[in-house]
Amino acid sequence: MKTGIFICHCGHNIKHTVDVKRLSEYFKKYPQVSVSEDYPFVCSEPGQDMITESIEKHGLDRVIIASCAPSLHGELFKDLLRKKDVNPFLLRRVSIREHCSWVGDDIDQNTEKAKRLILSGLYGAAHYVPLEEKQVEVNKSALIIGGGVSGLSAALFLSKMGMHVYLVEMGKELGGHVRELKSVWPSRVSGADIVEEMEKELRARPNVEIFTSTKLSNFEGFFGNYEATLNTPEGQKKATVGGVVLSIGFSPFDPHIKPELGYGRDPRIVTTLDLEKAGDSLDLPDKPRVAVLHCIGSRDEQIGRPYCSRICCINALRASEAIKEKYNDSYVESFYMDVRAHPRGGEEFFEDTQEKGVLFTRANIGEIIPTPQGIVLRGEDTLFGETFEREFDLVVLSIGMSPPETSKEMATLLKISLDKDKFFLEAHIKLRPFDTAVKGIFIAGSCSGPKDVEESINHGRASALKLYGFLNLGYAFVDPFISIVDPKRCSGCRMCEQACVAKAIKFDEEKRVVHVEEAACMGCGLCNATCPSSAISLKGYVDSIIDDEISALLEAI
Amino acid sequence: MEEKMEKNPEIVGFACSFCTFKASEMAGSLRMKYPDGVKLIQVPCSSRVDPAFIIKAIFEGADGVFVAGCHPGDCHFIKGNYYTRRKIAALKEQLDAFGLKDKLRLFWVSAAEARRFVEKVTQMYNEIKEKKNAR
Repeated sequence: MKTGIFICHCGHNIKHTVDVKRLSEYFKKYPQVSVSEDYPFVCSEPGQDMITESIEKHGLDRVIIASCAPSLHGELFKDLLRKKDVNPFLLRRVSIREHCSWVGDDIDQNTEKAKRLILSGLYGAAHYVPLEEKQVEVNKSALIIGGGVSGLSAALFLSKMGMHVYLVEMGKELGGHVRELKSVWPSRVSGADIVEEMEKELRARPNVEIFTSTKLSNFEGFFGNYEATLNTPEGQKKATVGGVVLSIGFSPFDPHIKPELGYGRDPRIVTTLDLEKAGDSLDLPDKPRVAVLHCIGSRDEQIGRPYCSRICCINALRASEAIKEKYNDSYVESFYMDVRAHPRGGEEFFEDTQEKGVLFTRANIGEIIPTPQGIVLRGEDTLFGETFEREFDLVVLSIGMSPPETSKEMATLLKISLDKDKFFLEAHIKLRPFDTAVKGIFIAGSCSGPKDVEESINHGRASALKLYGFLNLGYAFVDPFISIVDPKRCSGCRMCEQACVAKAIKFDEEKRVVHVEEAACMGCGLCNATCPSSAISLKGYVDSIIDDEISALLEAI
Repeated sequence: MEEKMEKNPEIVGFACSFCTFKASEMAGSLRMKYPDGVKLIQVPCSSRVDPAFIIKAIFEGADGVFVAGCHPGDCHFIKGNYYTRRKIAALKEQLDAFGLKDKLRLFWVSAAEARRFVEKVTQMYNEIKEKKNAR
């Protein structure tokens, strides 16, 4: 066996708390190690060349790269091995950055830990065998869940590129929350116009199927051939899709959660969305006194919404401006924590609104009390440190975004994760912001965190583009990590058959042994852990690999 | 008085690659600190953990072993973690007979819960360290 160990400095990220020189020297003493090198950036081109040259020079049959987490640069290093005709499953990645250099400060302790981790890689890799990646055909179709702006833009892009698109919307019509907006900042176009234009274009395309009032009821299968069951008003429909864009948007914050706001107890307390819908029908005196409250349902630890919703400052400014424009002599006071008018032009808009006469007061509002004369606001001016009590004719609550009500349900159905705020979690916040942990399932729009209309459209398009890249290839490689049975050892007890969730294990009545149906196996390894005679094992995670990894972590060295 | 050398425990953790391993990656990226005695072995699903691995680790000198998987209901493989839960409960009963029950722990950490991961492993490490040094 000829193993090559390549230890990355990752600039200073690994080097400053791990003695990489000591590590590379240490592993030279192992007989199975032919090369042990450290290099500033193994992922850089010279670093890659160093690996390919070593493979050629020493005829390496195991490559261990100790660097960042295995989820980063995975394909890059596998390709290096493929290029040199080495099976890519003989590569072992050891994470000494995320799991070592970044979690401890002591250089000696970290070096010892890194040594153990690399050793466990070395021991484990010794049991690696070349594995064949199976190629499967990819169905050139996509399921888009949620027909808001991000879903619509994803559907538009994918259908334009010739993919068959199934667009599923829970509500009666497409467009989501944007349809309700009278003027979308900053272009001042009506939201209904935006979505109708998109919908018109989409409906004209022959390769698009739109299902409204439809819910996804079941979802199974693997990338390339997911089986989705849709509950349409006309009954159930099954669709085979290559991939999914999930764009189920958000739920507006429900101010009932905070009873001190008095929402629902008086018609003069409205949310920004109510104000948008009510439009001209508001019954206000000639010189109305209006209060606009920022950060309702955002940046509030007490109710479990510590994040900034990003859109509500602009919404609050828009509401103030709309009232000021309609009633010139009105008194509009805006109560804010901080004004984060973040999109392009937002800061200028904030200045404009101030110039138009809207008063901004930095305050915490404690209570809103409806009285027959007016609505009394009690709060604390946080700049003066004084309490105040003021009376208004109308109170507008600028509500934030809450995670979609169905987020938990969807996460369970699609087997993807939620973040701590119950929005969908991306695979990597910077490098893979559209992907989920499941291949072929992408997230778009505000279901992955608060976004405005422009960002949602961009996000939808970007996710669609990423999915298109996968679908257009027409084929995909499936991970070869599936179970395999040794018929000589199998006693036919059928324990694994009972345990298998995927129903991939079948019993052969004649031979009295089990066998694995490769296409159905999900690769969890439950059968491997269940088998009393160690007859069934999961490729890539066989008992001997894990056994030796345990030894490497604990034995005396 | 002679100062006693502090003994640091070695903890082996089996981490599901869909949740806990992701959470530990995130914990690293966020530069959260946890003791260097905690070392992880990546498994495709917590249900891949054969009780024999745990016994082996304990016999080879691990002061603690933990198995960490997805929260119930969130398993990527539908219900692998339910099997894990049963398996660990049964194994704990066995270990109890040898007085080794405290060495094994099972907890759920989702991919987003980097902080929870760090809290759980640090708590486990500290408790085991206290016991180890009390002797």
